[in-house]
Amino acid sequence: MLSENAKTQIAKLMAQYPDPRSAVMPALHLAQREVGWLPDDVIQEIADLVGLAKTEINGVATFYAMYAREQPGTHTILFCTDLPCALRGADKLLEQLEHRLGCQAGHTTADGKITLKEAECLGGCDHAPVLLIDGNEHQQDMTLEKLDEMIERLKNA
Amino acid sequence: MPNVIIDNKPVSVPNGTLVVEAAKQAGVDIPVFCYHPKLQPVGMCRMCLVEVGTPKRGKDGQIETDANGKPVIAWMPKPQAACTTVVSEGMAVRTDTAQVADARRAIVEFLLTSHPLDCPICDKGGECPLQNLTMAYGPGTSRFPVESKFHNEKRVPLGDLIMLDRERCIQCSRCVRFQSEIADDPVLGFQARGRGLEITTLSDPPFDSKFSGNTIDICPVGALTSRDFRLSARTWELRDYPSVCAHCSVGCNLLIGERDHAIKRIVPRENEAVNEIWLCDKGRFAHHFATAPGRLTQPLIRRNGKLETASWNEALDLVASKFAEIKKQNGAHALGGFGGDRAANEDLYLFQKLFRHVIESPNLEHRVGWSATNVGADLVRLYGAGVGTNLGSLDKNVTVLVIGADPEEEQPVLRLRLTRSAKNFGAQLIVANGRVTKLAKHAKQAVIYRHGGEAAFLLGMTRAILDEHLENQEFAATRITNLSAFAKSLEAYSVEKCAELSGVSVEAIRGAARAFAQAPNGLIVYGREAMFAQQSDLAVASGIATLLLITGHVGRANNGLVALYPHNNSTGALDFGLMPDHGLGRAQLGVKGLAARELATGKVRALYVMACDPAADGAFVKPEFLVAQDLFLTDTAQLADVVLPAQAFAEREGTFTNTERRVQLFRAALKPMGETKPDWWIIAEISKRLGSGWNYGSAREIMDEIAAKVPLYAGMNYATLAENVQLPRPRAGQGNASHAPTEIAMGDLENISSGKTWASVAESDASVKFELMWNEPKGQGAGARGQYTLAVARVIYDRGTLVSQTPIVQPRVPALYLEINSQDAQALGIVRGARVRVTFEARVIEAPANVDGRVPPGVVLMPQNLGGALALPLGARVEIEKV
Ligand code: SF4
Ligand code: SF4
Ligand code: FES
Ligand code: FES
Repeated sequence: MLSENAKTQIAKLMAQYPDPRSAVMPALHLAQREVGWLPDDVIQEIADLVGLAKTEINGVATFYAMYAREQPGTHTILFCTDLPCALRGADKLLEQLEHRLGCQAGHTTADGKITLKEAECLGGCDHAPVLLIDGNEHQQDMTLEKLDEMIERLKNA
Repeated sequence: MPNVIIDNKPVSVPNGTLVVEAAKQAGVDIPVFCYHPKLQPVGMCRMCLVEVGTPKRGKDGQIETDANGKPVIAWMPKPQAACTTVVSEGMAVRTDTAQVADARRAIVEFLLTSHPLDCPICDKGGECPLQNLTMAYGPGTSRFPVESKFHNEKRVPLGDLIMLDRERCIQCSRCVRFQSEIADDPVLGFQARGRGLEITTLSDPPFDSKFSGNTIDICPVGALTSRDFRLSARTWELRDYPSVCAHCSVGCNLLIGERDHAIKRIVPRENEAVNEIWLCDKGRFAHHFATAPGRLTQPLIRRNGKLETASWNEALDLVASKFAEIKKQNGAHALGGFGGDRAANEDLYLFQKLFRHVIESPNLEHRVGWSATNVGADLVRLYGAGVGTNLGSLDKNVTVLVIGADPEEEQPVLRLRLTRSAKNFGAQLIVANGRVTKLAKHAKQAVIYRHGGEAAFLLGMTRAILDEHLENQEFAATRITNLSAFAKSLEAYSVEKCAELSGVSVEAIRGAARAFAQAPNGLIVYGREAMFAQQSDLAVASGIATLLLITGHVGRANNGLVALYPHNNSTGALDFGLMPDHGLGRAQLGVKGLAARELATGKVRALYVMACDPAADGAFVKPEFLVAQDLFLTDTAQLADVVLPAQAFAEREGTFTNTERRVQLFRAALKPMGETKPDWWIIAEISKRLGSGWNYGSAREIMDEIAAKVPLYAGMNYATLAENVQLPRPRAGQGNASHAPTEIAMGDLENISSGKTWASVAESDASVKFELMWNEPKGQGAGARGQYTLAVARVIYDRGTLVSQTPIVQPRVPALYLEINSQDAQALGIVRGARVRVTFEARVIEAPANVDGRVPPGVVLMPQNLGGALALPLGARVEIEKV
């Protein structure tokens, strides 16, 4: 369930566009920030607020990798496997990371701590391979050692 | 009209035409997957790539010409999508080049990388655009090993009716677009993207739409299949017989796909004037009644209190001798008949001829609780919408006042078409009802009146038109006899007073009045709820007639009245005078027969009931001698002395007249079950035994007689009605599929229509003058505290004889429910699904509550065709409490 505050914000967003459907993406971001992810009932609430069908909102929310339709772990790692990162060994590193976390990309560790997701270019190609933690912390020039350090830190945080 | 050259063939097409459509006119084929002429183009699949160029202009802005004086074409560097490119003057298009052939080959190869090799077990096989276009344009071999194919879920039920195969989907979005653009139920969507892209439905129940079956037809692959037809026949083994839907009064044209004397599936048949290429799910799936095991197959005679099988001769002789005996003893008035509005025109015509001319009894009816006045039999004869009106392509010059109707539930495909007119062509809808209906979403103006305020609202519009002098003075001067006297007689009813009586604001009344009167063309759609209201308030019908006349909106295409009737041939029953007070051609009769209620309650000694079930409506009293003629052992048949087994629509031919008065021919597809006979044959046999000397050999002969005898049907012989209603080609070898389903899937529409519409009096006779009449509207004040006004309506999936024979649609048939506004529900402490008790006088009904915002506060609604609520009158003041 969205808070009244979130609903007011969404109404404000809708007012900014000639067609209220334009507010869907910012509304989804807002909801995700508040709830942590986008469960079915939130999708329905946004559909009702914006005046679209639930299926349509779901279409948007699943098209973009940065919306979470499944409940994520405490931390989310977006791991870039786009071309420049791949050329610098990202796919191998990802395999290692999956191995160490004990879960495949797209899933969450058994203890619910870390969600690992594959991502398209994160805009840091000059320091490839790159990953992004919780949407705000870039980690660059990744190596196995750095990965281990990061896992330790996140598990204990 | 831009001139374009496509593969060296010049065509000139209207502004805004897409290259893909212009090519059709030039006779050039452009293959498509995502494009469909009924949907908005999206350019998603790239199958339609062609080379496009425009005339080259020099520095001076002049078009450059070559040595032959022909314009030099500047070709675009890359091929363009023909489905999203709009033509322009002088444009040149090439589809026969190596570049185009390469592009097509590449797209097909690309699609096939993730498409399974399912053709041998795929329902779409034989009528599949992907198969066809692969054969025509694809590479003969693949560069990808078969193991590299992408795999995905193969059986994903999208609701009860549709099965999705994710591997086969080529992600063209036709189904998604159909649901949002045409059906107005955006319940299908894409999820994720790229290789992970999937079709999903998140509605509850899944794929919640009355039109879901159409996605099967337009899906260009076998991704969406019918859970009813799935894997039960190859399409080329079917023989497709043209027929007409036997359910509601839209009269959708369809093809019965027959194999081994069974209906395997029903698919739409194109008729631009009726259903375009659509069917609702009831019409498509609820056909199992025709071949249901419960069908009557032999005549039955009651012996020693039990119905026992008999021969046709025994049964017919008995009926005829009893009829003759009773007539001799008590006169013809002691006999009566119900000829139901599911029967074909030929049956109804002979039924009335039997009663009026052979038995010579005036006691004829087609339904209980359905009087000619209440349903506007005269209104339609006088002011029926002009011939050529196409409810699916009305433009901004047409204002449509829809009053007391819920076409989504009652005439589903007609609702699609009105929505299309409003959305695509700018028709102005004024949707007036006592509650919110789906059609209102695309209305220019949605009016909610207080239930019972229909007539006051209409009178208010009339008054507003006269106040502002918006009446059509030219029409009034030549065709109306009494406008000024009429206007004077209305003085006591100001718009304000009508507003008060109807619960609609003065501005809304005036707004609707202006929109209707000032429009160049005006139609009124008169629905079931308004007909219910007319039962207690005669001013509804006179209000409709007045509005049409003072605005001059009669007698031309896109003007006049469309009355929405419940059954496939309700119009035919009215046309042939299956009414106590109206005869052949709806002529008013001097001598009236007994009313339906009296016929049904034993006021005659002998009653002949064909194609309807008056005993199921309750309060039926069996007369001394009862004959029932039907498909099933209905409630009436169970009481009957003689039961005559009739043929289903699929087993015989004939004509139905739809709610827009279009007479449509349907053909026989199946071998008749057991000893069943067509209704007309049975009537004729009885008549012969009464000494009539009739001799009819076929439905065709009867229709030709109708065309000669009934002025409304003049010129409608079988030959004219059969236009575009072709029989399947003769059976040969593996059967003979028609090409219609493939054409719909490929988007190669013929834009054809069939059937003939009869003209109203206003249209056929320009010399007729009309007199305005009015009745005082009853109106309705607010109810006492604690009381609610009962509204009744109909729902599409009902508990009727036909629907209940199709198991696959049963999950969609709701249990009887009570719809209540969320405010009222809260006040009464009722939540969704809670049981509530409805009390009216001594009657008590319990049902679960459906809480929503569709009915206004103070009103509760009960569907009238789910059983149980039958006995409660519309507008009754009922008390509601939580159980
Ligand atoms: S299911 Fe059929 S119609 Fe729908 S997107 Fe897939 S291929 Fe197109
Ligand atoms: S809209 Fe009516 S006529 Fe058309 S398919 Fe449905 S039930 Fe049949
Ligand atoms: S490709 Fe990895 S950050 Fe750009
Ligand atoms: S892109 Fe034109 S038909 Fe699909």
